[in-house]
Amino acid sequence: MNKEEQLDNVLAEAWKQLEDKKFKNQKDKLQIMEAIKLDSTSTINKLKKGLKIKIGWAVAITMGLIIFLLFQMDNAEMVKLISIGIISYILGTIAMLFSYRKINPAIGDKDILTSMKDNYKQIRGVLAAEQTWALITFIPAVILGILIARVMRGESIIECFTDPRVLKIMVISLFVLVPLMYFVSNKMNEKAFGSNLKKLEEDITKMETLS
Amino acid sequence: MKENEKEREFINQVEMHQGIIHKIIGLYIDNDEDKRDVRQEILCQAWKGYAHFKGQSKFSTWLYKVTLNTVLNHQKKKPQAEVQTIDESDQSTEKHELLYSIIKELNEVDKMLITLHLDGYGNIEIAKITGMTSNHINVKLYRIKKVIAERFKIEDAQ
Repeated sequence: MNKEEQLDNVLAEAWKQLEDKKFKNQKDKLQIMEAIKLDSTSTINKLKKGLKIKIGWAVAITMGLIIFLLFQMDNAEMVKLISIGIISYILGTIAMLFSYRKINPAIGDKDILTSMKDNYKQIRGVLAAEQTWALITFIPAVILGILIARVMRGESIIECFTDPRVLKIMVISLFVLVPLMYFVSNKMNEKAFGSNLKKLEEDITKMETLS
Repeated sequence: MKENEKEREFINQVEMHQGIIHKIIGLYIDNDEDKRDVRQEILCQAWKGYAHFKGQSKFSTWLYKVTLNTVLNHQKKKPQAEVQTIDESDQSTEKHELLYSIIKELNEVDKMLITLHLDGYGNIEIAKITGMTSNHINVKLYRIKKVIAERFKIEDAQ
């Protein structure tokens, strides 16, 4: 008997013992019945739910802005200003909706490598969509927040932009708050999903290469 | 097929093959909280996917794929415990304990390959389940078995 055959025999015997001693088949019909009624707890399913909530909020804010707009119809400058907010929220929400519709948490019949790649791509996609949404809506929200009180008092948008004090606040806000928000959201995503993504990346590489 | 009938059929099938789920969870996950979560997630994913299961492969092969997919994509709540090394010089150490310890020490991909191999799947079947090429599987299995042979102290009987 050569070394390979000898090893195969030893392994087959040890594996059988291992199955009998460590992985005994436990009959638990009730647990199976209960488990299939529950919702998936996979990362991608959690992200999908989170995205749904964010879309809900974005729609609510858009509706709120539209209602606010209806009460400001006599002020042309306010109409312009609020319209910018509404358009940016609608664009951001559409981007999130596209991302939401593309998510498929079901593993299905895909092979393991394809499934891991899909999962990796989907997690990255959702995180990118959330960041894009935040950027699209955050910048107009900052501008809106700075200008709204002045425009409501009767100043025009152009007048506000020519005031060096307003410009200074706006520039500081945008150049400090936007990168800060981007940095914080990146850090939070890394903390929440970084290890998972890294593990997926490593496993994909291990499956594709011989190293 | 009515929903109830389908559910009953699924539960019976899973009950028959749930050794696969126990085995993979046992080899990949150490703490009880993660074990419970992953088990629930496997059953949930299997039930969702069962509607699309056309019976082109055996139910056990399909369940194997869903189980490995779920385990490998699962985000663990707690870091894995250190693998307990066993004294290999101790003659009383049983072979299955040694094999268990060796498999637990392997990385996730190698663990998947040797488990499928030991469960009797051929390289072509493993390639279909994993999406890896047969060549890769051949080389990786050769390397894993070499490590195991060294630990089992198997030498050429010449």
